[in-house]
Amino acid sequence: MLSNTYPVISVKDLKRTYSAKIGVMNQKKKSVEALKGISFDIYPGEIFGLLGPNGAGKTTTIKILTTLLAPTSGEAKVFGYEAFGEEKFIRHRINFIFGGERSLYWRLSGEDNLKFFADIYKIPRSKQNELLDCLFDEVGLTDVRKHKVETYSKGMKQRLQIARALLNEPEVIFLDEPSLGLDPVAARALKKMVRQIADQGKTVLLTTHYMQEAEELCDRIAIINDGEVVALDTIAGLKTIAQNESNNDANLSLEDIYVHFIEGRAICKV
Amino acid sequence: MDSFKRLIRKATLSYKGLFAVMSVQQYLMVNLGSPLMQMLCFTLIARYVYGTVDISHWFIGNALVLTYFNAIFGVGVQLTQEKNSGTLKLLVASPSSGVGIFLPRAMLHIFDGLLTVLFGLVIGSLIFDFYLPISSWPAFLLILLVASFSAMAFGLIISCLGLLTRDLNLVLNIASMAMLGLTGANFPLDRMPVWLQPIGQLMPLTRSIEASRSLYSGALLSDLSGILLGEFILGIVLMAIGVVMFSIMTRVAVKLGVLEMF
Repeated sequence: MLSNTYPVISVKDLKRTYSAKIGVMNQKKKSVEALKGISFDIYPGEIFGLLGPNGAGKTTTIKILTTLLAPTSGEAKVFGYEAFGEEKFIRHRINFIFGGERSLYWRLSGEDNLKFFADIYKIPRSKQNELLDCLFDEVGLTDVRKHKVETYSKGMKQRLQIARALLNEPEVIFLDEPSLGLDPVAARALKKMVRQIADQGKTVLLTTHYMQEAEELCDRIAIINDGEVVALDTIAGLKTIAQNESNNDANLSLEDIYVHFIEGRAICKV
Repeated sequence: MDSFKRLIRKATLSYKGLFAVMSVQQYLMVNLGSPLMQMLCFTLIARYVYGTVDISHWFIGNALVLTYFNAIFGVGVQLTQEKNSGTLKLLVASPSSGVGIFLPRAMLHIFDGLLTVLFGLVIGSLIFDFYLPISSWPAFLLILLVASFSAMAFGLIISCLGLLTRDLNLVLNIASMAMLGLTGANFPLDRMPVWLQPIGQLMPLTRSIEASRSLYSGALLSDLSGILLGEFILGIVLMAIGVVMFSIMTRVAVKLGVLEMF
């Protein structure tokens, strides 16, 4: 069904190498290949999960697709436009959240944060009040909207980030470990919000280390390890592959599947 | 009108979010105390070195040069502060252009810098018997405004370097020392090495300091219009360089992968 529509995100043989200098006097150049030629497509309205261990290349992929990092080679397209070189056709149609508590102005109130970014996104002032009321209501921060962000809990900051990311009514949202460090209640609230976002027809690219979260939310999952996509399918599809490869008919959890693809099998490029 | 209101709010919120002090005590200590102590220090050194009783000449120079506090440590560090707070990537990946992000932030610093200088002048008038006739104050305020504008434009250039490096302190120190030493505030430009003099002429504040000293000596604003226009044009040129640098360095930072601190 999905392959009949055009992908909203298209990644082909994408590579990214970071260079670093080591030493003080006799500096040596060291290269780290963060992405070794990954490929995948994401279709409109999908929640697409990108799973993998730390340092696998998930954040690098998201940074490239959000126009914050140039690829070394290969293709990274959003809405058919190159993420590096044609950013101006992409930026007003996407938004993103990186995990953790940063990415907000802590000395400003929640409301001032959203007002500032509403101006940055050139949202007409006549629409802003209604939009902010609606967003604060959606993320459950109406009562504390005038409080400084530095007084917010981690979960509240994350919810404010979601409100910020929805300001420009993006068609695609990138969520890089959005539930990082959240307690179970806050994580559940966040999952509900992600589901609501998807229900509005938005496309979501999600990275997470929480298998249950991925299992509950994602339509398809790519497992990435050491800069390569080692598996890509629906959860049911991944389960079948893992069962066949391991000759194990047991009902595998996503965690079992993940461990199988990361540790228990030779890399099979997708 | 919508764009203008947006500009004003962006200016105030970015100032409040990154730079504004949180209490009166903090403002007095950071924005006034430190600059004023520096002004007193250099003015007293000038009195000792030049052996003159009337040190108004040096006092005026040191009062004007106080704008560098806002230029370097306010405007100059803004992109590094954005990087530290994890918000730089949000700005860069937004539909706003460099001008839309960049310029509103310098606006309030222009007025903040002006306020610091005015406080400096009040303190100076109490300690050094500095006196400027009331009739000269409008012209003096105009000079201050232009001086603060060109200093902030210089700060914009410095801030661009924050896109590429996390170690901006070295640049900040060199830039602030250059403003103290090469603008004529403390050392006569014509006594500097020949190769340094053109650099002094390219620095912001050099012309404003000269204009304010001339005004103090009795010159009319009309006599100073040329020199003041020169300072203003220099500010415009520095600002244009800053905007172009922002665009180029953002692209370089995206290529190198250094937009974020971590």
